[in-house]
Amino acid sequence: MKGDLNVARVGDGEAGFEDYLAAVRAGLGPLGEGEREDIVRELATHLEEGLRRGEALDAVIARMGEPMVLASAMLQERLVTVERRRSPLEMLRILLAAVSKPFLITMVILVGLSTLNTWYLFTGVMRATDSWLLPLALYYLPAILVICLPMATLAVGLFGLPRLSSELSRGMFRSALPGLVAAILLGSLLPAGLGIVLNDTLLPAANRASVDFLREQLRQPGQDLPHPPRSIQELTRAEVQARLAEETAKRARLLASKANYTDVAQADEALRLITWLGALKVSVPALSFGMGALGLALGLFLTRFRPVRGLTVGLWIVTSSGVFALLQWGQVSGLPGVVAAWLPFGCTLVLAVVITLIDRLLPIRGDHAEAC
Amino acid sequence: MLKRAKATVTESGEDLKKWASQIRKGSLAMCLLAAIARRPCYGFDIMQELRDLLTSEGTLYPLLNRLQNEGAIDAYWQESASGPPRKYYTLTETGRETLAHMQIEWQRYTSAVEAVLTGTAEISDDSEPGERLIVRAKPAP
Repeated sequence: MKGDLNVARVGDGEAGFEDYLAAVRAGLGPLGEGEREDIVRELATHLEEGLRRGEALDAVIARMGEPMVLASAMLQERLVTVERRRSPLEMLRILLAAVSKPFLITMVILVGLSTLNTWYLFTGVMRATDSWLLPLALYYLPAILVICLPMATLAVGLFGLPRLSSELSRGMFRSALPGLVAAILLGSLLPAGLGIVLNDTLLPAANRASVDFLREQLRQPGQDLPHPPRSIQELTRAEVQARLAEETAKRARLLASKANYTDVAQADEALRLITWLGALKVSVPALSFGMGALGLALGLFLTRFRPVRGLTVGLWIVTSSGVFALLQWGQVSGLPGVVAAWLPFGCTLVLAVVITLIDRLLPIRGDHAEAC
Repeated sequence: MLKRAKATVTESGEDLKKWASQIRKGSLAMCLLAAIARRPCYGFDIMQELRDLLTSEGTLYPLLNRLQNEGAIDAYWQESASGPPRKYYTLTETGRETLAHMQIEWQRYTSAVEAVLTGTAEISDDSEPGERLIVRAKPAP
């Protein structure tokens, strides 16, 4: 490929030559590898042609302009034309594809955790341990993951491993740092805020089921305990109804597990923890939702209000929030809880698999990445 | 006072540069298609031909990329006897049609501008108030 041009590139010039191409290559990161290398190869030919004609490398490079500006212009032209040529059906497919892989990864892990959680609750393991940390960790880990996983997969899709993400995700942002900021904000805060708000406003049924379950447990305090603590019985009769009306499904389940504690001090410790979580739960939605709104505004600004990207972001939010809400729904205790935990996860997993299959079966028209 | 005058001259020069750049930019795609229509060309080749129209050589490749994505031009790699392999561009049928339309529009535009500049334009008086005036070149005697 280089032929006798290597002579012209010996010495300091070669470093400049390669540096320039490397900078362009880095700027073209969101494109597919084939397309990126095709562009870089053509630019290399251009530079070598200039050198072959006796021009200085600096002069040729100066005429080409800043590598990042050039790469940005190439990306811009490519994204605009590809978006313009897409049919509505194709747009829909791309929108689904944009969320399918992160969604699938999230769901696989959530189903696994849900299974573990259910097994943990209903096989007596909880009764065999004195630690409150394990049930708490099992309870909150899915929530943390449902926030972090889409963020991580989106970030990877945008900046690190383009092949693992969809084409649209790859093209959402053009520059690394603002894009990363937007990805973090959009991928974490907004779904978290909306998810928590949904959890607190749309799922009172889950709380009621948990309270019923708890009442049932507390009416039979001696079933599993040789000497049920007196304080628990008093709490059951006098206060638990008023307190639990304000509690969420999480706290209700922890209280249910407390009925099996043999140590009053341990039970009181759990109650303190529950109160603390209650306070946290009140403050987090407001904070998350506010930050989420800020994230949305910033994200839309950074994506320059392109409608396709805006729709992707919207779908992303709905999906993540939906997963979060489903996760909370699944925390109902008792047999309905098992069903509730499995049914939505199972359905969404099937949906994710279908979306991924569609993603695989229908190649994107106009994507030159593979062709090159 | 002198400083202000100098500043005004500089600003005016900048505006002129911007204006010239915009004119070049508007006609660049047409000239590029016309250059490729004559024979298959590669990037450096096109750049040599359009050197006076390009504000920066870096603007050429994004434009080629766009025209290729739009289906106006096609590209293929070919070995070269005197250097590295080159990516040659050819005009597609769509590109030919686009170029023909562009040339017609360009002729209309330049005629109208020329007519205004030389004072041979006639301004139609049948336009409604507030509408843009229609300028046509006077038919040759």
